[in-house]
Amino acid sequence: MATPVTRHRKIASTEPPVASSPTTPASFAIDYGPEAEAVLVAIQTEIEHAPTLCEQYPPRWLAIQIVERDEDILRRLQASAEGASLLKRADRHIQRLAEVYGDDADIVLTDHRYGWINTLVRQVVTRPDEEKVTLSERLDRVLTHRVLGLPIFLAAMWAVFKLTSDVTAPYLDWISGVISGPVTEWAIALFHFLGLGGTWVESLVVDGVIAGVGGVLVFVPVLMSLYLALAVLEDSGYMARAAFLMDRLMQPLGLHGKSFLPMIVGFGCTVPAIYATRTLENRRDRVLTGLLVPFMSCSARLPVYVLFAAIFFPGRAGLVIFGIYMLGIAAAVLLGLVLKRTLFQGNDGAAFVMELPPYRVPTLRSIWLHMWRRTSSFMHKAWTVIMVMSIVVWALMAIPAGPGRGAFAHTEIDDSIFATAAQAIAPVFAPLGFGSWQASGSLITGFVAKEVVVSTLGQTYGAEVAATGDETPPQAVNPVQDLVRIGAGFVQATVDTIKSIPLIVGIDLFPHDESPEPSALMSSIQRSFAATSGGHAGLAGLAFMVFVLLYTPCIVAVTAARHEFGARWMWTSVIGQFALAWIAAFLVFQGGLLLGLG
Amino acid sequence: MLRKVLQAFEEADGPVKLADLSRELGVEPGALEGMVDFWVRKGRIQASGQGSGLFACTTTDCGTCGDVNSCPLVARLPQMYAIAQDSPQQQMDA
Amino acid sequence: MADYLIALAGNPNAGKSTIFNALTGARQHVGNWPGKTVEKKSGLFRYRETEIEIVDLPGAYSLSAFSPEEVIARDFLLEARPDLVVTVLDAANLERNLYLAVQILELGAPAVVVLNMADVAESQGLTIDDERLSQALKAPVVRTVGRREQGIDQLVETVYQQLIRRDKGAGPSRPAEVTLERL
Repeated sequence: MATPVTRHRKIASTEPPVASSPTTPASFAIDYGPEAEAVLVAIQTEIEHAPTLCEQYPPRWLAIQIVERDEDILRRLQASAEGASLLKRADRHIQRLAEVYGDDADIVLTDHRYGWINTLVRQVVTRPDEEKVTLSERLDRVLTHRVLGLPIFLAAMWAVFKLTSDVTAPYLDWISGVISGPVTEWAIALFHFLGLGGTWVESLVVDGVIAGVGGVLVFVPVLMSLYLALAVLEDSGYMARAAFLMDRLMQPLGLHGKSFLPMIVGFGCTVPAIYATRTLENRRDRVLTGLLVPFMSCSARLPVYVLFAAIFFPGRAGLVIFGIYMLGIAAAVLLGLVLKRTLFQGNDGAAFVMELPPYRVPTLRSIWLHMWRRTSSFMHKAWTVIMVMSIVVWALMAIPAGPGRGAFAHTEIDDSIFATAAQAIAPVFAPLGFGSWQASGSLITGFVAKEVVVSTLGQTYGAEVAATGDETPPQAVNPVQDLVRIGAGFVQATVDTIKSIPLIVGIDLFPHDESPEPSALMSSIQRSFAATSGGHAGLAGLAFMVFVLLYTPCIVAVTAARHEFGARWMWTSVIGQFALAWIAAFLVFQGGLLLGLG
Repeated sequence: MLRKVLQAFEEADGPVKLADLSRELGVEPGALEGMVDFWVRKGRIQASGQGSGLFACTTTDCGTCGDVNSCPLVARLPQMYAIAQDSPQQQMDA
Repeated sequence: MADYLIALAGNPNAGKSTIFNALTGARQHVGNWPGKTVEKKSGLFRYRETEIEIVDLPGAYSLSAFSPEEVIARDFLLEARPDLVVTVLDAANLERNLYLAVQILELGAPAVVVLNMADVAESQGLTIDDERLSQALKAPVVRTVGRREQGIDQLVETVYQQLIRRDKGAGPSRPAEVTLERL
């Protein structure tokens, strides 16, 4: 129970301000230096000639506030005639002080005050000879070391990709099996039960939504593990150090220090990264950074890498994906260097000063929260953008390209509008080793979003798999048995994952003779790429990954670029990225052939 | 003191940790933060990082976030400071 | 009806509220600053037949008008003119904390400087010369460890002495007491 507070006894308002009261033994004052003191005294004298102000404020203090341009006090003074005329007279003195110091007068006073305090602290506080080094600082000595810092960071990133690609592979296989197995079977059984078996409705759901959206949802464990690793790195405080190291890496390359900030954001998503270029003050730097940001591989591109690395580089998937990310950084840095010396000449920006938070052990709750927020955003995208695109692609694959080539939903896949259009573009990609209509089609739909590359591949090659497979009548579905199968598969996947954890550090404790059976889709892509590359499927696959890394990230990023930099730069960016992606993929494929690789 | 801080920012080549700067200048970290805040208010130093309002991604079309202010894909970055290029002082010098 | 009005000022996290609680115990009153959403805490304590009202100012890093907290603290010091300002400093972060203290002293307010969390500073190996600090600031310095209520007795005694000394200095010419509704 709080005691009610009575009004205290108050001294009469006629009492002079405490500062000038003769009872104060020795009044406190900082010496602001001869020039500033002269100005303060001059203003103080003016104040002393204004009785109302004198009563309201201690004169020296008021003089200090006027010189420091305290907005609140200036506003109050401005409100009275007496105050306004005082300010007018004070301005003259302040102007003089500013001229003497060649800087704003308020800085002079604040600078002196900080200096006075600093000197006092040096006199009053004795620090131990050996300053206690916190654990955080000791960690920083190693982790942000000039030489060691970068290799440690690269090793950490490599471990992250190893985790996301190799360790989660069993879960990927499991979900893939669940979607192509029981889920598809149930859907087919349901449509047969409803009497819609074999109709376009069934095809829309099975070949459109399940093949497309399902093909992307397969990568949920991959993204979850990536987000898990990132959440741990961010929460522990290491990401801040990584940013510090990255900045140090970019500085000697002559890029503006601040441009690296959007670049880091770009690893998450290109769109906010383009908006983050606003941190740069001048337009030249903003545009330059906006052109480079898309080369930072965003998380939407990861499913493509994981799929292709699993098909073409089983066992080395982590390393290949890591290499792709590094290639993106290298491309940005090289292009940045070239542009900086040609189109975007200008002064280099100042370096960053960073406030690195102390390291801490991340809490499970916060890791889970961040991982979940990101994963659910991915799933949200699956049900919106990817779903719509899957349906569009399905429809285009269902519409025959002309009369006499079948009816809607009953056309040969190769005769569909989609296949015909994609086939027309395919020759562009032939020199890169992936001139099939499926590959070119997926790259075209991939303009919308990078996950759509995967969903379209799932649909186009999936249709082929279905077409070549025997037209088996739907079997009786046994949900209980299926659920048991799904559960058992999950347990098996968990066991396999745990077994593969030592693989992160390169130790294979559980050597397995048989590599996992590639899915029908994967072997179908493998065959197709082998066919279009003259048997060099690995090189073609790598070239495809490089192409996906470098060409336009997504339609929203393009819109963002137009919004921020205008249509001209947007087109420059889109065309430039396409050209660069084509050239890089060409070099990978043709160069690889020349060197006799793959 | 304040000026030394600004000078250190101007002369830095390569990123600097606030903690190192505090040691170098012989200013306690807390006090240094106060001085940096002063320059941020004066517009001579620009702060960026989370909460600086510069990461407001204005699109929801990407389908990843319904929330404009907190795109979940944006990495949480440390607070960073750099010399503001278009500061009034520099324009005066130019 | 309190005999004296004193204010408690300090940076956020300087340990102001532990000092406030140690001084006032249960005799607290919580409300809002007039027209603001910032919490206002005040309380009473008695020492040697003297009733002292203490107002906990919002935590602030300076007295410049950069935040509502700073404006409230400054206006209170300017308008209510407390008889004494107890300025709480985090001894382990002296340099930043002194900025506010110096601004309070520049305002001409009679002050007692509290080096709070003295134990933390010691554990970091910092030695602080209280005497010298007191001389430079022209105000008495008291060490406390707020959360263990260490040094509170000495703080109360110092506050009392300062108040008495000021009264004595004012002598018999001290104006009659008038109750004013301010703030």
